[in-house]
Amino acid sequence: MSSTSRRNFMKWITVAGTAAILPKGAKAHGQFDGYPNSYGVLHDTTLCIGCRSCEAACNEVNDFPQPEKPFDDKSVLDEKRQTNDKCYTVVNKYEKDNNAKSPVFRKFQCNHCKEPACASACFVGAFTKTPEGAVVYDATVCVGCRYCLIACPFYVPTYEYDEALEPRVMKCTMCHPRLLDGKLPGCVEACPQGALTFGKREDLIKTAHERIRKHPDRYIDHVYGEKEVGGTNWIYLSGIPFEEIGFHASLGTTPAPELTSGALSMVPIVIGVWPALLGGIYVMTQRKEKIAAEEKAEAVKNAVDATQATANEEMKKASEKAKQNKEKAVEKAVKEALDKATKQSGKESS
Amino acid sequence: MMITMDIKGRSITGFLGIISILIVLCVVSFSGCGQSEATSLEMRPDIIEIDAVLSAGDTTRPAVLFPHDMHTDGIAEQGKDCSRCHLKDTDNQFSTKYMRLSDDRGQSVIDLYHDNCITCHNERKSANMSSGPVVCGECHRGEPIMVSSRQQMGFDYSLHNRHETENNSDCSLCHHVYDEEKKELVYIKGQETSCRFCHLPQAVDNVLSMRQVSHQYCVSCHLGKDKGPQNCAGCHDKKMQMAIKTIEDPPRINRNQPDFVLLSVAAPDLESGKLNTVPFAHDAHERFTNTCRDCHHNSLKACKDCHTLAGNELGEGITLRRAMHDLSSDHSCVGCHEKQKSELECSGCHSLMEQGRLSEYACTVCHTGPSPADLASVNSHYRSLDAFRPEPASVKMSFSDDDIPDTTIIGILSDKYEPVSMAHKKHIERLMTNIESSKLAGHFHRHEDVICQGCHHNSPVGEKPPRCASCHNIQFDETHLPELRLQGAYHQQCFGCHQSMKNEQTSDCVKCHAEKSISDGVTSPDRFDEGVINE
Repeated sequence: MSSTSRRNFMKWITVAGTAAILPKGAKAHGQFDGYPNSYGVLHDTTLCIGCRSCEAACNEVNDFPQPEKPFDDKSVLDEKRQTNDKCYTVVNKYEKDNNAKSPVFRKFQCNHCKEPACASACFVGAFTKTPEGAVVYDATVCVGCRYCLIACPFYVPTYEYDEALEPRVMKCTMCHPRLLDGKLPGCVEACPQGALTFGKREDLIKTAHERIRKHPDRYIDHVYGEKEVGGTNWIYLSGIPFEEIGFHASLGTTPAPELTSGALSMVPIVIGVWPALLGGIYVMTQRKEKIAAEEKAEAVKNAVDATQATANEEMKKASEKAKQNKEKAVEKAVKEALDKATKQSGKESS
Repeated sequence: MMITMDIKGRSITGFLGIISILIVLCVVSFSGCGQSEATSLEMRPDIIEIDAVLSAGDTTRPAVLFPHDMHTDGIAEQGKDCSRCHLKDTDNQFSTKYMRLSDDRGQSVIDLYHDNCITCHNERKSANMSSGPVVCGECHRGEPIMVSSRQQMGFDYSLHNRHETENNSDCSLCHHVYDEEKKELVYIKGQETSCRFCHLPQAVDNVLSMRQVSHQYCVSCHLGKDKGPQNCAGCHDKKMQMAIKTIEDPPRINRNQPDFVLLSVAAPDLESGKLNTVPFAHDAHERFTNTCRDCHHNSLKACKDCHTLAGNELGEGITLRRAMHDLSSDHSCVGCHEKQKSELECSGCHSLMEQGRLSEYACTVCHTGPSPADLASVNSHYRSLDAFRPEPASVKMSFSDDDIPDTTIIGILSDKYEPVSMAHKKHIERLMTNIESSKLAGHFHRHEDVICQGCHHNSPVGEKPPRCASCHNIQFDETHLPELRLQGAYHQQCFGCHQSMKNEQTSDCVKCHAEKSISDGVTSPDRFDEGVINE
């Protein structure tokens, strides 16, 4: 991958991101058309040969430990496997009922819903639907409630149960860091058959319908994930009914968050309102006490002030009286002195 | 703000989670037992559903499933024949109805069944013979114990020929038309047609249904001559059907049909018909069909007699163009030819191509005869049009055999495996053999270099077709999304063809890509260098 093309890719992602911020994408659920220009993967199960290259690539990209049986051991395909905390994707084998030519292989991983149930169930917002289409998880805010495991209609998220200290929820990231780097998801990069096609979701849906139109005998006329649970960014084509290759056919087209938002909206209320309520009561009590104290202080002050004022008045009167007395005394003394002096001078002149 | 739980809190929730999931697992693992297995039903080709009351509106008991062959055998055991249960009509033919001639229903028929069935069952029981039920619920079962495996029966050219030979080509034994004036069935030479054109799935007025007529006439004849199948299984059991003797390449049925014909529009449309006529080898096509009805679905008339350019009521509004080109129809030219593409020899290339796509020169492959306007000047007698027969076809190349590379070296994965040496010429030779062994394939692959397009698709034909890497990028190119990269393109072509032709299905890389020899690592072509074509 040359740096130029990476730059280009980054440019797109930015454009996609910017477009996503526009109010168009920010409608309430049910009306949400998904992020425009988001990416996805089309898995054409008629082309998959069960080579497990995608599993090996996923293991390498995510630095998982090597599994017990190596990736070129095809015997693991004999059992129906699930993803776990050390493996984000598995390929399962389904034998056709009508003893047809060959078995069908189907890759399983996070479908990256347009409106992810995991994200709506998470009351700390650990899951984010990125504008690129991937649903990513932030372990730093996760409280480990695992509501996401229950909420997911595809049973995708798994949990690090053997991690004693900081267990995380584990699921496919659609190689979000690689996407931002201008690279394909690991599994798509590795698929030797072109059974996985990466592209803009809208284009992939067109591609899928085009394949059905061109080969009506090869495909079931249905693109799984186009409408299921409100649409997913991973979509699928199959030659036999989807329920025969491990898909849940009865999920409906309503986004999971729409079904659960009523109940789930109570979570923030319970989690959020109680502290606020108790805090409020506390604050109110505190305020009341403060006011009472203030009133008391003022009353005291007023009383003190009044006493002081009376005292001051009396003091003033007393001092004025004293002053008057003093002046009278001075006057009297001056008069007496003047009278004495007058008498004395009369004596001397006679 | 409020999300300030500490790590210890998370660990505790984690442990509680583990415990609760363990409990759930225990409950789940103990609750998955106790599924009763459905009782297996007996598969029989001879089941007749007796529902005599349906029209009377009384359905208090379920209909009876009646195993006919079981009863035929039982009666034969007693030394009796069909007359034990069936009456003969005025033509001395057994009626297909039970103990009556007309298609009655209602209480009298219910009584007829109850009286006779139960009486016979009781008689056999007292005679210590194997016998049927005598209580209501054992015949009128809510949950059936048997299910019909009846296969549709019909004539093909082989079976028709065997009947022709057997009856010394006396067509009148089976074929007839209804004469309105004489009010009777008469045979007219050259007017023979398929039974099914008149005898429809359901009886109309006094014309019997196909089912009635075949059981009345076929079975009676077989019984009379003591030849051919005489019970249900003989015609309607899958295994017995397979065992019916077939004649390889049976002679053509002789009904004055054309050997060769210029397919054209109907006479009133001759002026407005734009496309040239289609020289059509009727005789050759007879060999690739099983019955006349494969094409002549409603009568043995020419297509244009019902299907006109504009369409009319007679042709059920289906225009001549659609009648000849409808992809979804089994009777149309293009529809039938399209189906041949899924034959093993053809599917390798054609399964990769868009279904039903016609090439730009498709019209001129068939419409090579004189124009409808000139048709009058051509001697239109059927058997003298051999000049218009297409030449025996062969695959044509615009270049010499020597210009075809023997092998193609594909080195895209040479960092992991030895480069693949694809036997290019062998692939072409195999396809050539397949095409030339089939008249149909030969006819449709006569355009120059068309054989190359199985792999070198979506590009001009010619000596040097564009390389795969001209369109399919080796590496991910985000400016061409969604795209098929080179490796996927190679694998889809190779696997697609090999799987369709039922050669193999593998996910074992080393079947094509030889393991890399360590010492030879230096000489391998660079990765992503699409293979050089070796001579």
